[in-house]
Amino acid sequence: MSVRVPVVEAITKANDELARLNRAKLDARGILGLNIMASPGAGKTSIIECIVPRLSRDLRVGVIEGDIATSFDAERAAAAGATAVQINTGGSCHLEAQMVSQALDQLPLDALDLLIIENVGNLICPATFALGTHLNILVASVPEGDDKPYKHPRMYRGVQVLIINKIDLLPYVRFDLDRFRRGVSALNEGVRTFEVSCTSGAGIDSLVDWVRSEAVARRASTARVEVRP
Amino acid sequence: MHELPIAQGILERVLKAAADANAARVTRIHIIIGDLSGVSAECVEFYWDSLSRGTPAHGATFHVRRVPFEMTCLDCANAFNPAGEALAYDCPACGSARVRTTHGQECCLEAIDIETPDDATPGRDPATEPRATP
Ligand SMILES: Nc1nc2c(ncn2[C@@H]2O[C@H](COP(=O)(O)OP(=O)(O)OP(=O)(O)O)[C@@H](O)[C@H]2O)c(=O)[nH]1
Ligand SMILES: [Mg+2]
Ligand SMILES: [Zn+2]
Repeated sequence: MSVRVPVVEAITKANDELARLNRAKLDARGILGLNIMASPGAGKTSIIECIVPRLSRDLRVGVIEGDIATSFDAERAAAAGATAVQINTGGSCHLEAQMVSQALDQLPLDALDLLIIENVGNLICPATFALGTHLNILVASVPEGDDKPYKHPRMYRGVQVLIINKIDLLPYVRFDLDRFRRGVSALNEGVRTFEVSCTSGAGIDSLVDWVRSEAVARRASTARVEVRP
Repeated sequence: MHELPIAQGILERVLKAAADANAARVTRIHIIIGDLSGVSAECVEFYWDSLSRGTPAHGATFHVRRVPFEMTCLDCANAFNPAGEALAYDCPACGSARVRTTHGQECCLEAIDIETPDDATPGRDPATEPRATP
């Protein structure tokens, strides 16, 4: 005879708790945290390279690069002017809060305003693991095809921001923007969307302006908390 | 392959719940997994045997309640499963593109079935024993 014991909680609770600790470290310093996710080669690092030099005038930017192997992307982020840390996940196809926690310890958090995390290139696993960032950003790129919101609904649902990259390729690739957008809005109505090209620079201005204003707003909200008695 | 850390998390939680309930053995683990959750119950079970070896949860079976991907039409209130449809999320009843995702992301532990040390004692029927806590 056995007894049933209710244990109602999220299956990802262990990771979620570590993510909360990461968030607290960022919040204590007014740092805005972004988690950039995409399939391999969508242009995550290219976007970091495009926006960091332009944000650096007003913000101190840290970057955590997640890859299975190599430190290529951290080198690219550092060359763009960020303080960069590379995480090699070994075989793991996504970052977890625990890995980010270790990387945070290697960053000069007291001297940062913005933290950009580039997740491992993968449209499936990263969506399951919160890292403690404030905003999840998905980069979709034109050559991947307009069917991705239908094939990867989970990823499209879990983000607050969508960047459609490589729009310079629209004339050459069969990509029905309308069909793509309809899939996105069925899954994630009103998600903030930027259409950009890292190659031509199209749309990068508005992306940079938005990131800057989000970071400034977060810093201001922390400053207000500090002056309270 | 992200089910390995998930299985580890479940094991940790299950063992804690089992210890709190003074369980001798965990026989069954009830989980709810939506088709949109990105978690494969089969993969979790695959890792379970080796992860749980030597613990009271070794040999436990999984009872998985699957929640299908469901969308609901804002125009006609029709609820439908878009999986397997042509590449569109349009309502199959009225053709509207104004639809919302209503189910499928569920992903949680629900309960465990345990055997208490008393269960193993012959001549006692746990069903008639007074429960320490309701
Ligand atoms: N045509 C075009 N190519 C681009 C654009 N953005 C990036 N690329 C190219 O796409 C390739 C991949 O870019 P990355 O920035 O390395 O992509 P990633 O998402 O960081 O890749 P992983 O980190 O390996 O997953 C490179 O060859 C870039 O030059 C764009 O806007 N247009
Ligand atoms: Mg990269
Ligand atoms: Zn309808």
